[in-house]
Amino acid sequence: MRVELDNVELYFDDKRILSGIYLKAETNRITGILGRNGCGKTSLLKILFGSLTPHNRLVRINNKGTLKPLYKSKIVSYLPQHDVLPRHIKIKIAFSLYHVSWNEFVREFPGFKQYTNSKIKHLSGGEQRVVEFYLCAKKPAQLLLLDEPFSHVAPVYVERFMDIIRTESNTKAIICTDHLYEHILTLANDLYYLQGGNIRLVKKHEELREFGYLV
Amino acid sequence: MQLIRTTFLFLKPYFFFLFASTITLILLGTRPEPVLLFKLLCFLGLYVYYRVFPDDKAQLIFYQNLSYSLRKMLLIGLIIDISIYLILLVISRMV
Repeated sequence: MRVELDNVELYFDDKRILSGIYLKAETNRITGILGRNGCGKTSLLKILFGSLTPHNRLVRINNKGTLKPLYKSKIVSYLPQHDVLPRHIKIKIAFSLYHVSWNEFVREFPGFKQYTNSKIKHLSGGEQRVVEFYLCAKKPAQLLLLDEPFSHVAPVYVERFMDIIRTESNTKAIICTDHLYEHILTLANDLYYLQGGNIRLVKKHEELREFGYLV
Repeated sequence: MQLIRTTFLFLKPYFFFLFASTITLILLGTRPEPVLLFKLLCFLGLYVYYRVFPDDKAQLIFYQNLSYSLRKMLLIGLIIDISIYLILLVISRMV
């Protein structure tokens, strides 16, 4: 599958956040987005997901334009940077709703076996992040949007997350953004840099120094 | 079926209020029209609440990942709530 986001114009009051943005993601490829705080990375993912409506945007799926929010089309899975799981529901129910196997999860993350009958509110913030990441990554979808998946998780989990992202990229188009840029540089097949409301395709990692993202 | 199940989960934090208000209004003998209007306003209030407070709106993404919009869940929730009210109303009149 090929997803393109084109001609994005986003303003908050009179402040221009995004302008003339073009972004492409394809199955079998991981697309990374880097940029400083407040440059619009999260807004871009929200626009693609459909939970934020910009002044202008065009989404094409396999070269066919679509106007309705992508989340209504059942093809997208989105991990936002904030908590997303309702605290009052049981963990196993979340797995069943997302059609993700709890047993496979426990096999991959044995430390979570103790939570088999627990609710989300019994997890620590980091543990909740692991569950959220796993659910969104493994959920049946064709496009996976990951907003800061590596933040607030232990290094051992980060390595596993990267393995899962690589595996899932075989069947999904993946767009990933994080401030832990080394992980993004390692993972991404295509890399974009967002600055001043504009986006640039990064061909060589050295360009990030020229852009002033790295010192 | 999944939509109904998801709607129940979404409305779970408000279930006590919705159920308690239904019972109270039946016991008070309130006519159905004002009760239905009250329920409509409750769900309209929930819609505005989720639109106005972005922190609470954040959890909507959990449900949007299942392809359910706020409007769809609230509409199904309203239908379920009214159905429960009507069933309890009929039972109360039979007793």
